[in-house]
Amino acid sequence: MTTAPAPPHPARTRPATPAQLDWLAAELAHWRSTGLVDDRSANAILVSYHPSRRFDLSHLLLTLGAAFVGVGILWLVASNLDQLPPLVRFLVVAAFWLAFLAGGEYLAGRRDHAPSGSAIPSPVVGAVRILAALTYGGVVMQAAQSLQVPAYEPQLLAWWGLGALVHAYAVRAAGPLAVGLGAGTAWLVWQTTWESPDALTVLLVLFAAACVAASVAALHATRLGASFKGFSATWREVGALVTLGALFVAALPFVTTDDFTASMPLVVLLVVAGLAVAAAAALATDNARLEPLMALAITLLGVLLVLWEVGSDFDIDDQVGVAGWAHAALGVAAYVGAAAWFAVLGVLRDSRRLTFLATAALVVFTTFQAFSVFAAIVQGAWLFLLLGLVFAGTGWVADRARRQLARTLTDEEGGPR
Amino acid sequence: MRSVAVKVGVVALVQLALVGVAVAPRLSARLTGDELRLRVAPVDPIDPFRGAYVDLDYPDIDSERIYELDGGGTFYVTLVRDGEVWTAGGYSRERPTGSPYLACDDRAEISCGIESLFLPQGEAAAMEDAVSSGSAVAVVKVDGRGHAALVRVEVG
Repeated sequence: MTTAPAPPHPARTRPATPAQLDWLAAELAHWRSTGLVDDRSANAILVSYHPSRRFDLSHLLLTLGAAFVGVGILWLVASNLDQLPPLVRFLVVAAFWLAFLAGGEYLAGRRDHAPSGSAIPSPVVGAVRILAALTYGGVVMQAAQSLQVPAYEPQLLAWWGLGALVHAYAVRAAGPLAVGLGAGTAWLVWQTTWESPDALTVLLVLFAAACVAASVAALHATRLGASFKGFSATWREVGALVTLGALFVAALPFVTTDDFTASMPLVVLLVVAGLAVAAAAALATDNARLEPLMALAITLLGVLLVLWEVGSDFDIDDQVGVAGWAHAALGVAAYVGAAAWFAVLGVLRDSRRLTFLATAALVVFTTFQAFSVFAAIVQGAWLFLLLGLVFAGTGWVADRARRQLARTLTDEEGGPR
Repeated sequence: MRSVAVKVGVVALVQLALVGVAVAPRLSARLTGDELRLRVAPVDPIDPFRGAYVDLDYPDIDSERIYELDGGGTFYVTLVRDGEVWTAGGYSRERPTGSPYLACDDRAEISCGIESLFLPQGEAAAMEDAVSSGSAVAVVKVDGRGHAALVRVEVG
């Protein structure tokens, strides 16, 4: 190994977690051994970072702080402070919103114009933007309260979500996007369950929304990625949440097509979702095009589960027939398959949140099915024995698949086996 | 810095416009409507985003007559004067011409946009008691399209 004079330390170093630095040091050693970088460059790269856990901690605290202040403002609106007349309350909340909105962009603008190399990533801008998006919800709710809009009006959440999405796309920030999609998802679930007289309509709306979310995620991942950092992950996670929630309900044997009528808005929504899936499958590249197609496949499975009416063949208080067994088995298989897909997707996209979401959904689903549905088929200790074997077996298969994948990747790279 | 100001201005204007759309029927009624008085009775509770309110029922709007209408969605209640208050004169899916009317909806539940009176928690409870025990009157504003906004409740 050659020795080279140590390069001068840069004026300001960038923070990195100890785990990131360990990885970087190991990779630099590999790059040096293969001649990709010389010793001087490797040292220069390494000394341009300093170990810090404060970055993660400050990010967590700032995000939590923004969320708490935002919820606090919403709560203050809900507490209907009688010290101030309604118009003044609206103006106060609107002033906070405008201050956060302008403040976030002012801070972001300062960073954009900072000298190259000195722009150490800061979560402050993200936190202020989240605060602005949450406070905008306060503005919507305060306006509705001041004007006595009837209580429990779900459309207010839709307007809040839409406003937050406008904010997110205008300034290309993932924080307001998360707030907007959260409000939008809450509106979708509330509005459809409130207005729809039947389960299949609700499920079709949710599955359609999930297909649109998966399509947008795929397009962000491949076509719009660089300028909308974090957008793909947020859309993907919301799509996964809605898909797994809808499939959870669809797998229940007592969810049927009773009272279903295909209304015009539902047909339009399904057509829009179909077009979104087709567009994403055509425009996205690599394995991203699988995302909308898998969302569509899960939708079809969910609809099949609802269309397959077990009827009297499934009776929790009575014997279960062959059709009841088959329906329950298909429901579990579909859910395990869907959850496994999202878990794998989380690994492929480096999204620990998505993998955690899929795992948590699977645990909740299995537990619920065990006590409310499978209890009618398998009793007591046998139930837990069966579930334990299913989990252990699934884990073993997943581990084998992971090892096979690692071997394949190593072979493709021509590295040692 | 100028581009930041423009961006913030555009986002703020679009978001403010969305707030306006969210409350448009009530805002229109408040700004352009005529003031009418309707008899009112209370129900109660709390909205998670907007706090305590009194849920108001309008005994002069007959829900049984609404259930008899064909289909679901928007319906109209024409109002006729009965002394100092206004009461329902007719119910229809067709928009009335002439006399003041309310534009209502019965897709999820019957709503004419004037069923909630948001008040501080203590006042809501007191208002509920007062409305329950007396002949309360809701003062509403109704615009030319039937959009109604609740202005206040007067307890006799």
